Amino acid sequence: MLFQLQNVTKTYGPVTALRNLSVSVPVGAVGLLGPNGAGKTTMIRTLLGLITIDAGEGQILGMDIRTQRLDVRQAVGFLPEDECLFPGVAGVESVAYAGELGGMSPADALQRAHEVLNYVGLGEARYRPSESYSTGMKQRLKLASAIVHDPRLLILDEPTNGMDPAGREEVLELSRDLSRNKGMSLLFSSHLLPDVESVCEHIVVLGSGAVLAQGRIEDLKQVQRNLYEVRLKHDQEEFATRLAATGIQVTPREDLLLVELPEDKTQAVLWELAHQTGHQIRHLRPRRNTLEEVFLKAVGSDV
Amino acid sequence: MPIFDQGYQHWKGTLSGHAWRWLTVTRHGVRAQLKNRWTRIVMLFAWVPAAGLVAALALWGLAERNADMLPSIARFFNLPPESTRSPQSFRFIVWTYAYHIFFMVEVNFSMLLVLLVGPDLISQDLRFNALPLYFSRPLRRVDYFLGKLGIIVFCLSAVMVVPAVVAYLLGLAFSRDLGTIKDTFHLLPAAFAYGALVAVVAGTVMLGLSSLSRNARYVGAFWLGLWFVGNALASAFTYGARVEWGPLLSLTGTPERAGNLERVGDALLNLESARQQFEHLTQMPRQPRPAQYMEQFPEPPWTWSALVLLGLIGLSLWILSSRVKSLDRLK
Repeated sequence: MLFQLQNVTKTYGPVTALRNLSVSVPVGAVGLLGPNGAGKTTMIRTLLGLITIDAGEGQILGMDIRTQRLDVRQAVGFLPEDECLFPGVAGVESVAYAGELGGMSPADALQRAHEVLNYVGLGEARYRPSESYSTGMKQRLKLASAIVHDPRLLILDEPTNGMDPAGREEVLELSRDLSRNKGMSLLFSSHLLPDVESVCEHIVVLGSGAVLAQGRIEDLKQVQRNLYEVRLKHDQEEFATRLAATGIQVTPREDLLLVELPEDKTQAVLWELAHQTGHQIRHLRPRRNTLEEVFLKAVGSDV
Repeated sequence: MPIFDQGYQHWKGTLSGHAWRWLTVTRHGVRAQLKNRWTRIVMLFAWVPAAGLVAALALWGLAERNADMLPSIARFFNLPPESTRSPQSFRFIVWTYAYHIFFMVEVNFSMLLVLLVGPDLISQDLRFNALPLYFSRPLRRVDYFLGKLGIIVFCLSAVMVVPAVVAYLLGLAFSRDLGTIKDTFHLLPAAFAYGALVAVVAGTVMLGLSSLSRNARYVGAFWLGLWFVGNALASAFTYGARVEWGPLLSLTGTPERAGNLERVGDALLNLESARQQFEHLTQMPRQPRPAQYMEQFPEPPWTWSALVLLGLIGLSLWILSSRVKSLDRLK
């Protein structure tokens, strides 16, 4: 298990940030989704032992989040959401300092800082003051600082916020590489569903401080029985009309038709109708939920 | 070329424990501060009084062993002729006053040094939002404060405690008399305590001020205000309103009147005993200030000054804890 929380409650005065939250997450890349105020940041801070919870318990990497806070932060890397940096130092010094704060010796930290800066693509800019970095470079500097001590778990809080498409892709590519090729577990918190989908295998959806949905992305995007995506070469509208006339429910969506077949019919009926009307089916496959639909459904149930 | 072309290697080293983590903050801060040319220059100049202290102790050490030199050296120290008959009995007095004068000058250098070193310490972390970077690592708030305070303590120790100890050892070397240790040993712990007093008071006050603004210039202005406006107010209340507590408004004091730091420091150096011993040996009054002045403007006891300094430390810690918050709060 990467981490698990049991019945965790955290309140800030009248605001309940986490409400009897129980979650158990396997090793790997995990996406943390939820609308604003869902409790994502509080959950991350709980995992890092940065806050004192009112009730409940939890373990992360086998360590207790209440009694082994400093050990947890030593074993975990964290990339904060906000723009933040150590002032007045060059990139390499900044990363080395982060390593020293994590418990590395100064010599190890400096050597390792050079390595991770090369890895994140800041090798050329390592001696420049970090204040002069662009947004994307600062984000990669934060990533380098988070992985300098080779954590077993890397927590990324909105890592692609405010980045241009190229910079965003670079961060996603690094995250994927760390997770898939380097064996580092990730907790990837983001509002951007495509980003989560491109990096993670598992998601946790939070809402009002509780888990609304969780599981493997592939499982959550399950095949919907009797719902098919159909695309035709010509005159999709006419085909839809003919299908509707036979009592089959059809919904146009972008360049597709979503066709819901009754229980007693199979997809053969679509081929027969296409044959009869002279239409050419170019695309026919069972419909799967998108991550967006999974998310909206989970959040909708909370609303 | 993919940006992770260099590859990522796992690191197999050992991470240290948490107890001394604050030292990392201090080490990093000291390294950064010593890159500032002005800090280095002020630290260098701050050693000039130490040279004076060494010279004074060495001269007295020579005088004790050389009867020919003694009268002229006694005149130089403004000592009465009695001192030439038994110079060893004046040793405690000479050494204690020498340290008193050294620290009196050094306190002002310390204020200047803190002005150069301190304003950036927390204000820049607030400006560049560095606190999440600190607190998401195995570092507690108290480690952060200790680490930042350690930077000021290092700089002030380098110009107060280290020269005081070096001067003591050189003074011993010149005196060539083991009795000197017995007569003056109190100065060694007193020098450490005096240095710690100035460093802790100036350090916590400066850190408190530094946490009040994201602009280091404003922090520097606050500090100058506390330093000079405090002195001006103390003068106004002492000489104008003639209130006994007037001097308590001054942190460092002026050549005419001791400030809170100097008053507590003098108590640590046991200056009063030196004064009484002088009066006993010479039957002459030796006040830290002219007697007429002391009668006209009595100074409050050192314990009041100690309470003022404790209050300042408490206020600064309260400011620090409310301005530098942990991450246990709503965004």
